[in-house]
Amino acid sequence: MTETATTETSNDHSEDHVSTLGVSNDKLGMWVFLGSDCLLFGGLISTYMLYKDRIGPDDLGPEEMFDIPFTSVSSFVLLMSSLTVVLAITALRRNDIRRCRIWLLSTAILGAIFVGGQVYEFTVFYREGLGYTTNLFGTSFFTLTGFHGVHVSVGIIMLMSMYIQSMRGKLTSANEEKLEIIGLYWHFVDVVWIVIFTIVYLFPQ
Amino acid sequence: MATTDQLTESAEENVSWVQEDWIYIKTAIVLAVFTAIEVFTYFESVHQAPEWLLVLTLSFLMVIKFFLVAAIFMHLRDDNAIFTKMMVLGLCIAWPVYFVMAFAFGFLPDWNPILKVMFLLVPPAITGFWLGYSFKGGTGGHH
Repeated sequence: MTETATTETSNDHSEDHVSTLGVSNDKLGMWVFLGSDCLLFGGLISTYMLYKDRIGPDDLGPEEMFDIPFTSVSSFVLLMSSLTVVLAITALRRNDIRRCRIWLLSTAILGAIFVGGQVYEFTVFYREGLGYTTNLFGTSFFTLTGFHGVHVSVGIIMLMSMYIQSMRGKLTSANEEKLEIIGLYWHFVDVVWIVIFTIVYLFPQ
Repeated sequence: MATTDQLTESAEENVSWVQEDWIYIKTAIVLAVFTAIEVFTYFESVHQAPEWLLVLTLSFLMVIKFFLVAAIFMHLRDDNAIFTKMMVLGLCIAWPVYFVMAFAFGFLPDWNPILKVMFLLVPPAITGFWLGYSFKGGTGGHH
């Protein structure tokens, strides 16, 4: 019985990555990575919570620095990019490569708008006198949001690599799991921002 | 030339894709509405509300949004249960760690110690029970 199952698995190419748990190794690997990333962001958010009030008497604090309407638009953009990436995955699943490409490119553009917004926000803060080493609030804020920005940027690079693969005919419904795994990463980045936006920007200071 | 059966099958498949996409679109609309409510609490008239009420409302909306993305966009709802268990186990460990820190540094109100212990231990205890109860056991994955 077990031998038959093993032979069937080795003959079926699509089952190459299935582990003894009955799930794909690649997907399991991504979930383990996301779990460890959760701890990283948990640590960074906790550090921010600890140090957000550690500002000098003449320094600007979170209340004066944050531009909530602007950050809300950025958050909305990132939230919608989660929809476009999931639409790209379903388009690929039904082998609609053209639509998949459109959604992939939309996701990358929405991600780039979010990162652009973050760069603009950092520039404004710097001009107003909040640098990375100005005070502990600045250090913990830039480290937390900067790390998140780096995650989004890495996601954009991965999405663009998928886009190029689709242009070269290497992305089909047969290897849809590749895009699904990148989608998981992208949704995780979105989930982390949901937490950061609420705790860092919206909680009463 | 396609037979009637093939055409019917293809039409049914198209309907199922449209339904699947529509679920994602509806989820995105709900997420956008929740975000709008969160941002609304920033405005002056609402911002005057008691701090505990604002924190409670924002935390509730944050948790709902978190689980909506995880369940629907990240497919935890339909995927193998092991992924959900891994995520819940992580949260189960993270909950007491971060809340002990929050209490220690005085971020949370000065509650009764019994209430604090319950707040720390009840959620991980319930999820721990669910995890233990739902494990089916097996051969240990031997070939």
